[in-house]
Formats: sequence, C-alpha cells, structure tokens
Amino acid sequence: MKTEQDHSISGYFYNGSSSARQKVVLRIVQKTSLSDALFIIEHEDLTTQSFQSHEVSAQDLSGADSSLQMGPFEFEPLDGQALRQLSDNLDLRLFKRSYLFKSLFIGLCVTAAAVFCFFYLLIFIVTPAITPTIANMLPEDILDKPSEVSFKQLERYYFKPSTVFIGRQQHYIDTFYKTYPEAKQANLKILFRSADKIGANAMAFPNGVIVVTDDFMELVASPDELNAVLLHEWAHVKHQHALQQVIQHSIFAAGFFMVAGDLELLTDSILDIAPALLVSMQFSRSMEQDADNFAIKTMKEHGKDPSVLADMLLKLHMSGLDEEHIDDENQGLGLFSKLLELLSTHPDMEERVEYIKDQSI
Amino acid sequence: MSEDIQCQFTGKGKSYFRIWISNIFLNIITVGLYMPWAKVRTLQFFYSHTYAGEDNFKFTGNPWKMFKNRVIALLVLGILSLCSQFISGFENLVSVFVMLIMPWVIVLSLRFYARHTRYRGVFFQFKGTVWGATQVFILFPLINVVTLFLLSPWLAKKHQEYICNNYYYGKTPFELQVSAKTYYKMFMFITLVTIAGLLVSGLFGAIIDRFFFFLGLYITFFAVKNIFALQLKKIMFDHLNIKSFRFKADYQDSPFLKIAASNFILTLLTLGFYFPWAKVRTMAYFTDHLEIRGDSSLDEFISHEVENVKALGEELGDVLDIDVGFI
Repeated sequence: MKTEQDHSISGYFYNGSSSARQKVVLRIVQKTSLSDALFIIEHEDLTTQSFQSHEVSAQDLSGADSSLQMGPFEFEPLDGQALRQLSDNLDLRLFKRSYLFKSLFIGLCVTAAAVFCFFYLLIFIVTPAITPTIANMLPEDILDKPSEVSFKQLERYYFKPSTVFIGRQQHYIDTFYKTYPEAKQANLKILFRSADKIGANAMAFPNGVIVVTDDFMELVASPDELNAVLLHEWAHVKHQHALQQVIQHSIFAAGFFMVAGDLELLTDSILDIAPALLVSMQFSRSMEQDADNFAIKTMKEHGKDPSVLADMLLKLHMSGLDEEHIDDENQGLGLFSKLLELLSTHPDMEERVEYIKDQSI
Repeated sequence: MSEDIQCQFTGKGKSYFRIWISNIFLNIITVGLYMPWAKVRTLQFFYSHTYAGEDNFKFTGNPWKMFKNRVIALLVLGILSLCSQFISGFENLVSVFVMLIMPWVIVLSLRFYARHTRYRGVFFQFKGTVWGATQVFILFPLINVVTLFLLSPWLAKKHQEYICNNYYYGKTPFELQVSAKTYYKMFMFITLVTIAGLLVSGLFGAIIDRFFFFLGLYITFFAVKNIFALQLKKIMFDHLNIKSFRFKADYQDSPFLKIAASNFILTLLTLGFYFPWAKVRTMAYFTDHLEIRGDSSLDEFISHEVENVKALGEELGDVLDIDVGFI
C-alpha cells in the first residue's frame, strides 16, 4: 500500500520583498493525513523552502485563479485552476468551502424565505413589542424641541391669523373643556389658523399644540363635531404616536441596514423606498385607529354619540377630493397620486367610518 | 523592454450572485453579525477577478479583526447617540466630535484597504496624513460653500491628488499630475449636459404632459450622475503614473450610460435580483477599458516594511457610511 504521495505544480514564487517572481515547483508531500502534508518550494537554483500545512492558506476566490499564501510568501501556479483540482483530489481542504448553497434555485428560495420571515418578524412582532418600552425609556419632552421648530416653520410659511371670530374660538375651546374636563390636565394648546395651502385639516404636535384650520372650521356644524376631532388629536399627543413612529422608523432602518447595508442595495437603487413607504403607511393606519378608539371611548363615557367623528371624517374626505379634482385639471401627474390614494386613503377611510358607525350603535 | 499591460475583469455575474445571496441569507440568520465575513468575501471576489496583465489582486483583510472593531465602533456610536438623547446640548458636541474625527477615520480606512491589497506578492500602502484629510474633506469643502461652489472642480482635483499621491505600491508612490483646467473643462461639460437635459425636459413637458417633464428631469439626473462619475475616474487614470508606467482609460460616455441604464431598469424589474450582474458589468467596464503602458519591468517594485494598522477606522467609517474608494 502506498503511504506517501508526491504531487507537483509549477508556478511562480514571490518572496514578499519585491514584485519580482521566480519560477519554482511546488511539491506537496502527503504522508497519511492532511496534518502531515508538507509544502516544498523548489527553486531553480535547487534550494528549497518547506512549509507545514498550518502555515499555508488559500482564499476561496470563486472561480478566480487561486494562489497559496505562506506568511509573507506567495505561490502562484501557472495554471490557475490546478491548485483547486489538486486540493480536491488530495482532499487537502485548502479551500474551506465553495458555496453555501449547492443549488442556486434552493439558495434563492431559502434566502427569499429568510428575507420574508425577517421583515415579517421585524415589522409585525419585534417593532410593536419593543416600541412602547423604548418610548417609556426616553424622556417625555424629547420631541418638544423638534415640534416647536416645525410649528414655527408652519407659522412662518403656511399659517395666517384665523378669520374665525375670537369669541367663537373661545366658545369652542370652553365647550370642549366643559364636556371633557379630563383634557384640562393634558396641557393642550388649541389654536385656530388660516392656511389656504393646507386646506381643511386638524393637526397635533407632540408637545400638545393642536392646530385647526379655518377651512376645517367651515366644515364643522356643531361643537360636538369639533370635540370629536379634538379628542382624536389629543389621543395622538397622549399616546406619543409621533415618538413611536420615529422609533419604529429607526428600528426599521437599522433592520434594513443589517440585511442590505453592505450590499449597496440601499444606495444603489430606489427599491428601498417602497417597503419603508408601505410600512409607515401601515403604522400610521394603526395609530389613526388607536386615536379613533380613544375618541370613541371618551365620547361614550360622556354620553355622546361617536358617529359625529365618522361624519367629520367623511366631510374631510369629500373636501379633500374636491380640491384634488381642481388640481388634476392643471396637473398631468395625477396618475401616481391616484394610485397611492387607491392604496391608502380609500379603503382606510371606508373602514374607519364603518368601524366608528359600528361602535356607535 | 516595453510592457503594455491590459487590465481585465474575469468575474461572472452568476458567481457573484451565489456569494451575494448566501451573504444576505447568513446576515439575516446571524442578525447582521456575519457582515464582516460577507464584506471580505465580496471584496475577495472583486479583487481576485481584477487582473492587471497576467496577475490578479488579492484582498487579505481578516474578518475576525473587522468583526471585533465593528463591535467597538458600534458601541462607541451607540454610547454617543444615547448621551446626545439624554443630555441637552450634547448632540451639538457629538456632531462636532464626529466631524473632527472624520478625517482620522477616513485615513485609517484608506490605510486599511491599501495594506490589505496585494499584487504580485507586494502590498499597497496609504501614507496620507490626518491634516491632509482635514483639508480635503472639511476645510476646502467649507471654503467651497463660501465661494458659491465655484471651486468644486478644484476641490475634485485636491481630493484625487490627496488619495493618489499618498498611495504606494510597496515603496513606489503613485503620481497624479493634472491641471485644474482639466477638471474645470469637465465640470463645464457636465453643466452644459444638465442645461440641455433641462431644456429638452421642459419642452416635452410643455408640449405633451407634465409627466414627461419629471421623467426628463429624472433621466437628466441619472445621466449626469453617471457621466460625472465616469469622467472623474477617466481624468484620474489618464494622469496617473507609477514609475514609468502610465494608465490609460478608454472610458466613453454613451456605452457606459447604456450599461448603467440597462442595469437600473433590470434591477428594478427583477426587484433587485439583477443587482449582482449589474455590479459585475459595471466593474468589468471600468477594468476592461483600462490599460497600463510602460517601458520597464513589473519585477522592479520593492516591498515596504509591513506595520500593523488597526482596522478600527475602517469599521467606524463603515458604520458612519463613509466610502472613499480608490478604484
């Protein structure tokens, strides 16, 4: 039985001190096992250098010509693929592994499944579970400064003093606090502003400022209707929805970076926008629902009919559609926004209105 | 003896696809811990398929070291951002701090990549100073803002000079000798292309539909971005030499734009799965159209003493998303 095998490959030897190369022959002497293999470099002047197998390493170069590194030295075979073949034949295991997935198709399926599971877990399980904990850890006033800044910007560029009579403004505010006394402790600041560019809207800032636009007030038929919307906005402030959204976006961005960070997908394509958009839509939907629920519950506690919130939502929606209709006539880029609207507002709005009506009965 | 050395990229999209897909998979199941290994595998693939003449490049970075430094870098950044959340006024301090250490991070990063790149048994090295990086990456850009960006071409020159003239193959320095005029000419060309693109988009928008205006804007932006990147590389290579070797880049705008556009569309249509092929095609274009001309032998480059550089800067740069590539 043959116990000693002897194989040689010719190639170039770099001594690490210059880019000059010498023609050499690499002889691999394998005794009984891999740990015994000896790598001998035979120079043309008949001198030799030998290396133990633990001193020798090769990179998996995925089809490129491979070479052997021995400390500062390097051996490059004339035939680039010869080393890999020899390593396979002698079972030298110079190349630790070739590919994780033997079959490309299986690799694709497994990876797609893993990506899907990862984002599913991240979006629907991990993020909702840890967001409240993080929100509690952060100081309550953390978004006060940012909301002041954005309020000031809106004040400068979009808001004008309200045309609603001051006495009427005060009457509405008084009615709100009289009907819902618990809101007094919430440190809310209800403001009326004229804002043509924004249209009919009510918005809440994380620091407790709630702005109601004049266009919105035109839609309001009774104090109850306004109160319903104020309760909804208060819920956004009370439940720290803005902060939660910031946290959720950060977690999602971190998760996305983890998967694709090194893969340049993030910077090289616009594909990353789509999931972020979908996710933020999903989150804001659940938050709207949460705010609706709070408003419904509070109204019921005070013996009010929650369906006014649904009425208000419908009115808002209709006024929004009117404006868009006007816009579309002098704007060709309506298709995309319509598509987005189809995806977001329509089913959302109908769902919300139906839900509120259901709760009112 | 004259040697014309043709550069060549031999990687195939399919081989990179296999690496890419298993990297994604392992990144996910290890919650991102695999990233340094993924990075090393990717770099090894691209380096070893890049040939200058008969010989390929090798990336010899050690993923374990990179992993340790990544952990340290992430910890430092995590502590900093936590502090800035809780201590008011601290966030300004942190951003100043990050800006101040940025040049140091860039230098360490450049050094790391250089010293782990091997060609014909000899390693590269980067000898740029932190002060040099501070000038190029912080001071000059500030001056550029004050002068309404009129110095942008000059800044591009300074940027490339800083990187190239501090790059060494063993003990031999690279030299970039180029006049500011070359950069100003290129920027003029880019400006003209932008204006032409805007005019055409405006015309289409006015005649047909506003949609075409936005489409035109996007196409203009895409074309300008790619032409700019290509021309910057071309200027660098065409004025770069080492010893008596000169580089010559045969980069043309329209064939490159065709590659970039088809890459973009195919990546979009395949929901990102074409990405590995796209990357390989881009690399192949850059490499295959590069030639090195010289009248001495490739044997004459002497190695330098190899010292140990921490990979920390490189990983910090990675976390901070800094990328200052040489090629």
